[in-house]
Amino acid sequence: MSDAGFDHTKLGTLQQRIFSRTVVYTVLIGFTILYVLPLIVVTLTSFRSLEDIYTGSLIAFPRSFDFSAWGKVWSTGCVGGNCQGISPYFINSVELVVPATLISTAIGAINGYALTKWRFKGSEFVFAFILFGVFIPGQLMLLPWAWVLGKIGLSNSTWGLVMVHVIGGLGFVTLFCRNYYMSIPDELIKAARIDGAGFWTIFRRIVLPLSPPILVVVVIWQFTHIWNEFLFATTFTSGYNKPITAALIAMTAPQTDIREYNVESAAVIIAALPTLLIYFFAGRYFMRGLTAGSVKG
Amino acid sequence: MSLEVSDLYKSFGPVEVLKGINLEAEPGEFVVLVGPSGCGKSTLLAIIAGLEKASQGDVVIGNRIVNEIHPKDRDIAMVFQNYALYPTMTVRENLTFGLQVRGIPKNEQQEAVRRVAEFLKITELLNRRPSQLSGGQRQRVAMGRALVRNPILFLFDEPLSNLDAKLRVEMRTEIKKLHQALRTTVVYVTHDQIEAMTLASRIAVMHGGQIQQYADPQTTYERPNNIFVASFMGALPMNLVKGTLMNGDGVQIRVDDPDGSSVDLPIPNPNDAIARNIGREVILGIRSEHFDRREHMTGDIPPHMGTINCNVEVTEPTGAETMVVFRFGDEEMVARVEPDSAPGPGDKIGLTVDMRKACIFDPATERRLGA
Repeated sequence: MSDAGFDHTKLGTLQQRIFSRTVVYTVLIGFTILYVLPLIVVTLTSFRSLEDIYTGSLIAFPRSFDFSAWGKVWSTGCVGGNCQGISPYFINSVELVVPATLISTAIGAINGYALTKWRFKGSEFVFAFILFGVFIPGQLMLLPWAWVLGKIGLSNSTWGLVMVHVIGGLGFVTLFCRNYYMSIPDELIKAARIDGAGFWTIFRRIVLPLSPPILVVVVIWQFTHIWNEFLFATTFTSGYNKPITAALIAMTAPQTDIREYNVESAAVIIAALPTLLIYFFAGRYFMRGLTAGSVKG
Repeated sequence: MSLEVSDLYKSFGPVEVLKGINLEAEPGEFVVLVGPSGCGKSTLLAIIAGLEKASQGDVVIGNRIVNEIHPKDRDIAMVFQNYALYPTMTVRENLTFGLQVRGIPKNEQQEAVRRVAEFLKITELLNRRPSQLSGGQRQRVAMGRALVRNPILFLFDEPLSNLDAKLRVEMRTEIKKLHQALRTTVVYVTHDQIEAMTLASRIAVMHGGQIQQYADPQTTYERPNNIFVASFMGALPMNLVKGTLMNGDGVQIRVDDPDGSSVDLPIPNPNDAIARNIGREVILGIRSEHFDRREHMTGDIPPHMGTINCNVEVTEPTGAETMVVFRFGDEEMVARVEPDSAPGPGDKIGLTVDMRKACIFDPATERRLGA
């Protein structure tokens, strides 16, 4: 925003200005509290002992900071019948999200590059076809996927989910990369062709070095989406093969008379942590990448 | 022959962009393709480069038909309008990229870079990135990237149109010097007729997917093949006015004024085509510098000169000369005169015309009679 930007709160008399400022800040602060409150409650609860929770109020400040819930949820908490904590499921999620994100990002970049810089007869149709995948709801694909995964022997496996997410994410990643690569001048590719470079050399030496802004966007997008995904995770895996989102639900399903709110809270935070961290460290690149290419220069 | 294009056609879907192009360039020639936008000049260049495929016809580069040969194997180099420097590479890497991809040994690469960088005076820029260069420096690096491979044919695609007016004139001179030093064959595309005149050994004026005229700059300027070339070439378009060829005191052309009066101008040494058209209406073309003030002529008017009287409408001083706008035969015309002898608006003046330099066009075909 420039200083010359229009700010209606600077208009009018002092009284009017104070009034409009108050309204704006009240609304902003109100919504901020609304959004942050659950996180605060969950964080506080995870540091309380069970006794503290059950003898006091459900929402309260810890009487003394107790870290036992964190240890328990990581290594001894029970998910379904398995009492090894959620660490195996966290690792499942990592083993799912890392290859799925890398493979789909790579395919998206290559698709976008081929569809913009090596146009062929029908390339627009191919793109429209790929894009079609964006508009198909996941529920619609449950049965077909179940059938396919069964046929190729990948049901109840992390690699099966990797495949589902790579193919399912194809539409979005291709769309992102294609739109970004449209802003790379075709002359660069022509110059490289005359210089003697082929499809892959141009991709590796010219296009890829220009790609970090969009690759950050695609990686964050895919990472968060795949990490948080629940429907496919809970449908196509069971037992020890569950990713963390599916395990989280199994863990919070009531098993005993006493609900361990502190353990469940810690589990929720652990499950949400990777995506939070990614936004924390790469969020500004995300914003930058989303708007890159929309302005020349 | 460095380049030969024969009977070349190109269509994009139903749109025919090139309609039978024939063009050849001797070794060391500087050929400029000039024309308004949409005339097909850039498409022709892209086909010569191998970036586009012709629908029909042959391209020969250095005695080899290259129709099916990949751009990289055509022994050409190209400079693009927006330079197309690789933004993530340094100047040095930009220069060596083509050599690296072709597997030229490292020491030869470095030697080539040193030679070209010295030649173009960009040695101190070698470690910078394109974004850290000025427009003129980028232009030089873009040329360096073409030079470093020593091709038999240089292709330039409007290389100066992104520069401001002053830099454009400077770089134009540099390109000319470069060509004089290297003597490599050049095909250069531009829409700027001044660039074409100043740089070319031969100009191909293109319009509507065809070459209207392919000749040296002076011929193109003085003896345009048709009305399009006459209007397109030159800082000022050729003055055109309707007249009737007739036999009087030798061959003459009569230009009628709307007020009923008429002026007869001589046509010295009429060619056969003009002689055959006596009695017919034609179009007379006169370049603005072939007018002069009547009073500059002392003594008798020589037989190749015509005289006209006219009212000055507007004068436009440019410093070196003054443009005098007047009406003649119901057309607006421009004469260039020396500022010292410039008339004022509204003045009644007499002008002489050097009719040896005049062109006569057929109004139906728009071709110059005798071309």
